[in-house]
Amino acid sequence: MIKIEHLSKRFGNLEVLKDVSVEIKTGEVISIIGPSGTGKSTFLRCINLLDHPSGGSIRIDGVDIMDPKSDVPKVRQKMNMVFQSFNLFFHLSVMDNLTLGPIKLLGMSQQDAERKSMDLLKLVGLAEKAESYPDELSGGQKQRVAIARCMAMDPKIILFDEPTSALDPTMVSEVLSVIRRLAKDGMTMAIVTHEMDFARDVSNRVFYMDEGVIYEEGTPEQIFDNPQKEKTKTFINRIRSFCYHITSPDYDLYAMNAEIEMFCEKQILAVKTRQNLLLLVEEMLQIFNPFLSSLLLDIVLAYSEKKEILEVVFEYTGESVNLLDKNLLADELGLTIIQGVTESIDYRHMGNKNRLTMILKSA
Amino acid sequence: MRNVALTRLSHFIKFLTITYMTIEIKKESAALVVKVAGRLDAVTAPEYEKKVNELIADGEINFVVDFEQLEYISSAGLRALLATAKRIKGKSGKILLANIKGGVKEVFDISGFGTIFPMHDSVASALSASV
Amino acid sequence: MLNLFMKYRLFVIVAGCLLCSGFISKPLSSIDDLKDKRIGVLMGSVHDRYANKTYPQASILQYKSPSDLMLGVKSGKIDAAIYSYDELMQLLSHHDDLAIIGDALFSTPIGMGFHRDNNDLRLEFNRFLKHIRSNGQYDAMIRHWMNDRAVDMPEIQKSSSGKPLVVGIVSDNGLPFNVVINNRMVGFGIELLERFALYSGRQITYRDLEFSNQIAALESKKIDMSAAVMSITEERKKQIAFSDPYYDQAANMFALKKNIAVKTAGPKTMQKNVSVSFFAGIINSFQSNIVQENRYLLILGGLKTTVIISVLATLFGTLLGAVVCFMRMSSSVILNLLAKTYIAILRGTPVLVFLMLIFYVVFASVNIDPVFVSVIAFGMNFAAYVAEIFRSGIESIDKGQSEAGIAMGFTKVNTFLFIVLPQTVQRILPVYKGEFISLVKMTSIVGYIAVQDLTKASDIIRSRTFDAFFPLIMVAVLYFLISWFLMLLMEYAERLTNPKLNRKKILIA
Repeated sequence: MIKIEHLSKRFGNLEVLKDVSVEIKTGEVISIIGPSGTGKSTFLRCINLLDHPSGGSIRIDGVDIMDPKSDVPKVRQKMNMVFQSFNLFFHLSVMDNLTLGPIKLLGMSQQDAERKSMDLLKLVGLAEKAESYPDELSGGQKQRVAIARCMAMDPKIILFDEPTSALDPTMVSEVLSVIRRLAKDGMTMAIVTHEMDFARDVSNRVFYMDEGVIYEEGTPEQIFDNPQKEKTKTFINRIRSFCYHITSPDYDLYAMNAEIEMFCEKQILAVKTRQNLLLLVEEMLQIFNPFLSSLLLDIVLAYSEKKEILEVVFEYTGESVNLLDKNLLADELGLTIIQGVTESIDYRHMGNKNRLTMILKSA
Repeated sequence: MRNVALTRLSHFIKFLTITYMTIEIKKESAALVVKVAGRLDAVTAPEYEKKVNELIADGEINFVVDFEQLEYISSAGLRALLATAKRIKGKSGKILLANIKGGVKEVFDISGFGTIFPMHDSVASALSASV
Repeated sequence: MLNLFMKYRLFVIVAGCLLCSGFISKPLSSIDDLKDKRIGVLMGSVHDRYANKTYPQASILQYKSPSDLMLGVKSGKIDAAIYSYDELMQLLSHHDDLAIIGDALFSTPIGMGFHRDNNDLRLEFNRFLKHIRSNGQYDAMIRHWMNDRAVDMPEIQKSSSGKPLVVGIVSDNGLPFNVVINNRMVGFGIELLERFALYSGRQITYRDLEFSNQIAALESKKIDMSAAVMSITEERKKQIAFSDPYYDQAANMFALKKNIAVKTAGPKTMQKNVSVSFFAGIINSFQSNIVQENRYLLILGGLKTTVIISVLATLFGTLLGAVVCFMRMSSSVILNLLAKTYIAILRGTPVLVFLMLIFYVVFASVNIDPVFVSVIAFGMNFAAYVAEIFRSGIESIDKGQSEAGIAMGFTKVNTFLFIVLPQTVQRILPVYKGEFISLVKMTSIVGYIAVQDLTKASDIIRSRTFDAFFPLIMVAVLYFLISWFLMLLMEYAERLTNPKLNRKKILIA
């Protein structure tokens, strides 16, 4: 139904979308996830030309909407959008919000439009609010009205731009249940959302957008359970990471400590965890000390919010050797301490790098 | 930008490291009380060792090390402690540790050092034990 | 010693206060006494020039109309004033608290004013003058108006067709030359003009302008002729042409009787000096200002004019304002700049100045109805404000709603019409109301270009009754009533556009 090829969009000097090519078929429910500012909303807004693409082509049911001769408003009537900030028409009652489009654009009679709108309001559970005005409704109610308003135009596809992002948690579920219902009824939808569980439940395709392209796409199982690409994984597990490079034996212990402390503060880690981390790093560096003039060491901290695990990876160049090998150590004091603060220590040689992966004991 | 700020921060901390470990000496009748405050790590341990060696050279042989205000100790600190203890034993002196608690205690436990030294709950108790 | 000094200072202060309040410590015994006092004159008149030349030490205050001049004297704002002898005599017969000081100051010939190039008309008038002088008509008129001090107008045939003749007059000049009685213009000057019209086969239209504007009106050909009882002076001859003189008029100084030591014998007072109670006074005022001579008709006429100008100017201004707003919000740099300039100029110039510019400069030499010019001028001024009000209203509607409209399939235009505009109107109505009512009150200045509106009507009544309080209060009340009524209308409109106050029931089939 929608065929997008090489879509690009720049705002001034900022290139938000680089090269997006994708096809959306009838009946599909697509979730679009990704970090903020990566162009998810822009992508959605380009589909109905709310934002004008800088390049590429978009064909909807065969109609090239970028062609100046196409009747874009007409195409839009079959495609509707639900916004993060609801955007209900303030001067009209709920009923009038719903009937405005059908009466003025589709030529329906007042009676028919009202009847249909009433049915839709019942569907979203807001029949008794038909005569209310938008400023009398809660956020969740407003969004449900917005969805009903979209439905009133009998669209072939509905675009959702972060429909629940502006709602407080108590109202999110009422809106999500409406969207679920729509999906069940077979409506084609493209949803930009941060609600991972919901996206997983309701969609049959997930796009992970990053770096201005559709970085990775697949079924919910593929993306959520088994992300292939690095950034996808990071995003899915909501991993926060920190990297420090040691290039000489004259590294500044305290400077590094300061950075590590900042990282810990950002992730709101317990004091104990922080102490143990600093200890671990210091002990490791003591062990590495004699070798630092001949190899490069990268220390990567990765904290998975989801799993609440702090992983510390020491990656170093040089010949394939596990420097924690008991046989190589001058004394085992350092190693004992290291073993005391970690859950597991794993050595691997990958490519031309040695990798020691440790998981810190939780506080 | 961030690196610049951090470098500045580290310089500031370096400035502080001059006071990142402090040693207070108090002469008691039974022994010399050495109060170590701050961190005993790879950077500060050498200083500690140097100071204690000086005291030993001055003729002190009975030491009580007060860990009340020590926040952090690593293997480097433990090694320094061990080295000075060996020296003291060599002069037929005694070294007792007091007020080891919290994270520092845990490190002692993990590393097994908890059993090497006599540990006391207070300076007073250590002093009476050193007589 | 100190006590005396203090007492002296106190005395000086009190005397100063008294002086300022119009109580002259020493009464005026001759004209010379006025050489350092406050003297009032009609702006732009011969008296004005005379006073400035002859009394350099005095403060000369210029008034726009004879009634204002009189008011000045009566309320003590000026110590004395100079005015024409004949008009003065009429005045004094109605006001026994005024009197002439000393003898006539000077005398000048009066002539009709014409545009310098309009020789034909001027010469025709001269011929007419010769004609009535020779056949005794002139003498009869002098007797009737000047000597007998009549107030009635003889019947003169008026031609129903004929060449148009636009004559500028000062409607509150006063008898014997011209005055409004029973909503009719009467006087020596009027009779002279009507006879001339008959003689030359013309139809007169009068334009009521202030004395100081008469020359400008002639020069810009707004009027063909000025019958403003203007003295023929060398100065004026540089700007306009005069007919042969049709009268010789003296000028005198007059003041409040109580300030004059020796009174010149004046005409017999026609007013009875009866002290009236406050309420009786009000009823009296009401009688004289509204009922007498059917003056209420003047008021109604003025009211109609004010309302017409206000409503038309508002409509024109709103439409123009919408256009300017569109230009201001457009992405074209030229349109934007044009709109910004328009708004800046129109908001930065006083409406009065703008009105006169349009009338005397832009539409100079064009025979155009001053009411039409007023509508244009006020409309343009209103448009500048409306444009900004519209813009602020539109910008206050959050863009999301427009986006929702567009996403739904409305064109940009329809999105504006159905979604933005209703809300804009709702939002700006309060401010718009205020600006509209402001406009209604601003129209009170159209008298400057000879439109007879409500304010001018009160001026005319004032010139007849010389009552300051009642006409002014009355007109203020009327303006208030207009504003109030219009405010009610607007509030009705507000209720119509504010949906919340207007819940309709749905009928579900």
